[in-house]
Amino acid sequence: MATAWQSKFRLPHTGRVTAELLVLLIVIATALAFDFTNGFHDTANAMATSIATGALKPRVAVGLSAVLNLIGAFLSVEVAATVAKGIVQLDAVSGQDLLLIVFAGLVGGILWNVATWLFGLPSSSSHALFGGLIGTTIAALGWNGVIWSDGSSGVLGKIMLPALLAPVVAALVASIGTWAVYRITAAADPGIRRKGFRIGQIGSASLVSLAHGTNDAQKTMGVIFLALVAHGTVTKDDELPLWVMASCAVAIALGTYLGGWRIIRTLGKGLVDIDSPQGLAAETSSAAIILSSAHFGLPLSTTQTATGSILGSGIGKGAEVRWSVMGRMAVAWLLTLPMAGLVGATCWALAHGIGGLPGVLVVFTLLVGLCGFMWLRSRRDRVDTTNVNVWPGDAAPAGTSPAGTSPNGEVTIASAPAGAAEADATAAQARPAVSAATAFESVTAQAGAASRPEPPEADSAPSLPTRRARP
Amino acid sequence: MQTLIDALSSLWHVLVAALILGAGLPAVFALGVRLLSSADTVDDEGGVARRNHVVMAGAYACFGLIVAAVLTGILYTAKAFLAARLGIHLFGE
Repeated sequence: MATAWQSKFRLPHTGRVTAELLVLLIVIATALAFDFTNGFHDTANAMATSIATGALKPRVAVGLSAVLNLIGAFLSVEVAATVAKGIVQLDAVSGQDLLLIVFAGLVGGILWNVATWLFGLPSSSSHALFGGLIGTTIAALGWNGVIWSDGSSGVLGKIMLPALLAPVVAALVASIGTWAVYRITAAADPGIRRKGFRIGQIGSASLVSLAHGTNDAQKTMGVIFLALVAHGTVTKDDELPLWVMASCAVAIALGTYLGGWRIIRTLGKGLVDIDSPQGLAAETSSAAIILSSAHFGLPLSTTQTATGSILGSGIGKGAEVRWSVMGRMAVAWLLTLPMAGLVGATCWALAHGIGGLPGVLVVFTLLVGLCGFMWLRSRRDRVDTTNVNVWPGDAAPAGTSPAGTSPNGEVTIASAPAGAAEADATAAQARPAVSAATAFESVTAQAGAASRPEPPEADSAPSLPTRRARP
Repeated sequence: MQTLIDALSSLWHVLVAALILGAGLPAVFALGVRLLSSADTVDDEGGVARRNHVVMAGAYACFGLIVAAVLTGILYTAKAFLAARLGIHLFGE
């Protein structure tokens, strides 16, 4: 009797286990992919100023940052079924339902990260992850699944307020620091000043990289741990498996080493023109704020702190700040949470509607396809080590004004085929100009690497069509 | 409302600490650079004619302070790791 029962149920049971395991593996792969995007998205926070001032060669800078991220990731110990704790209530669900929520949230985070990278905008990777999770939680569990405001936790206390405060505090501190540095060293020998500050910059940038690895890799470890708990591989009280830690550390380090050159260019060259003393002041301000805010229980986002610091270093020097670029960034920050949430919720609805493994596979294929599409789009106006320090002129942001960023982002995500067709037509016309501009830019970058010339604005005008090619 | 009050009281601490460390350390570093560049009196051939050792010592004291601050920052980042894996408890935890 028992054998008959077993033989009757073993096959479907085994089949279900395999499908569940496959879903788990896809979720883990997606989490590592998010970690990877987190790496290249945030390289700029630590290294943009060092690359812009020439304190470090671009490859050396991202290599150093990658190594420090790798070490930093191994330093994080807080395990970690507590990811997004105080923001979403995932206790109500378990098993496959929980896996699906986490998966769709990750997809939302990745797509928003890649989209903002395509536009060269430094948005917060943590916000993208939380936004994705919040969106899928609302879709799956309703509004009550999200803790909107509850003392110092909740979306208001943990995300909204820090996001508003970080850039202001950072800009204030960095502007005072920059002002002091320039005042004190006004009479110093320029050669000694430049050399000294370049060395100092490397130290402060390294500290930011280390803190980044510790904080951000931990979030992905938490997500994978949550997935493992949902699948039943580990229990909540188990220790974090070493392979989870190692794979997350490697993923974020590889992402960092890839270098998000588009974002590095925006932060290093787009916002303000940075000199070594400003770079040191900005990085020190970032490091001090990231470390002290975590200590006082008001963790401020790395991205917004770094951006605010760089902005402040421009204000403190009395240099020109490109407020249009800052405006685009601010719009991206405002959109990060809702957009990642919207994409996450859509993916959840799609996967849930189809159901089971096929649903997850469809969304995963969609993710790979959209990321591939955005990567191909990025090849049209490449930004790499050769032209990372050349900002394509003040006129460029006019084509992608704050108002235009939102529809563009949506087009890229929601209706890729239509956007692709239009873009193809525009790009075909613009192509000769593109190659000319690219050649020009790389030549300028190489010839002037030592003297760091101002980007000749009138001459780089041919690169405009590529930046404006988007519908 | 409570959220706002909590955040603002934390913010006050963050702001003070960030101003001391984030703006103060660059100022100390700048002072070091300034002292370093005024320690040597350079003659016409570009060689060092006279070195003011007191000023030089001041410059190195500034840089020493910076190095100490960076090391503290690294230890602070690693404090949870040190406490959990090696049993070394820093920063009062």
